[in-house]
Amino acid sequence: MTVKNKEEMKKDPIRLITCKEAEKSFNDSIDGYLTGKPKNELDHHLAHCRKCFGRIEFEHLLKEKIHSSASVNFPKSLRKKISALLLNE
Amino acid sequence: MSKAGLLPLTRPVVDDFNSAVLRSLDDLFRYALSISHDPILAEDLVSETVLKALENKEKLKDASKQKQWMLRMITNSFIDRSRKSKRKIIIPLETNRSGNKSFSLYEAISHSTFTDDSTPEVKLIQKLSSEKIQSVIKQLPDVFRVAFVLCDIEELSYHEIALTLELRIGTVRSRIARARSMLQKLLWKDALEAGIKIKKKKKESICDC
Repeated sequence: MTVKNKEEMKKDPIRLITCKEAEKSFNDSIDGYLTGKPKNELDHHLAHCRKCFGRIEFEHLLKEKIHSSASVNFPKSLRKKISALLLNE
Repeated sequence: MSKAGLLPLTRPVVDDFNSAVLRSLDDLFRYALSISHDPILAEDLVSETVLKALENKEKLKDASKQKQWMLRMITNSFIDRSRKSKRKIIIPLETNRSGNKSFSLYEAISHSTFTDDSTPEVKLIQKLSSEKIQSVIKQLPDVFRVAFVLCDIEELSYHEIALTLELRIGTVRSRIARARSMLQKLLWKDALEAGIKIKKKKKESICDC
């Protein structure tokens, strides 16, 4: 931590939020929208709370699993039909 | 016909619009299938959307938004068809206070343990098949499923989802949160019904806040 950061920390220390407060920012966090002060507060909370740390890890894993569950093969006949339509258009 | 009187070896190059449509076919079909869970309907939705897009391509002002524009067409067609067929919502929207409380699958399972003592959360994730996940997504009410699929499967940003569904970002955010909560609740119910062997463990206090 730099001297400047230490000074800033003294002036504005990161508040230790409760689990309920942390929970409100879980969705924004796993979707990558949490920045600045709310992000610092959540990170600070996660560094102290094993339960919330575990939960957010789990949410990330589940999101990845859901994303990978949706791989589908585009029907060949439909692709052929649409390709022909687009080429002749 | 070429100078030598032969047909060109390559097919005519399609314009950028048509190329972009071809490139986005997989995404469009995956989305249509994820919201409809019906391969035939998904094919119809994609075909119909491609035709509509071709008919209206002059109306698209920003070419970078083509996929989003077509996703919106699929969404609108799907919602129209659902309304016409008066398809009922499979699980009722919970309106009571406890029903609206967000559900965490992690919370439900973290105080239990599998008989083989493996980490229950990781074990549960490992056991989840793609078919199971898709069948649970299918049970989400349409309005929540559409926002959820655009976010977690199509990986659109909240802003893009808001534009696609013509909703406010706050509404998009809350629909995604509700969908995740419902999905986890359904996965938990399913795990219990499938007879997952879990035993209750004494609740530990692991956070002092």
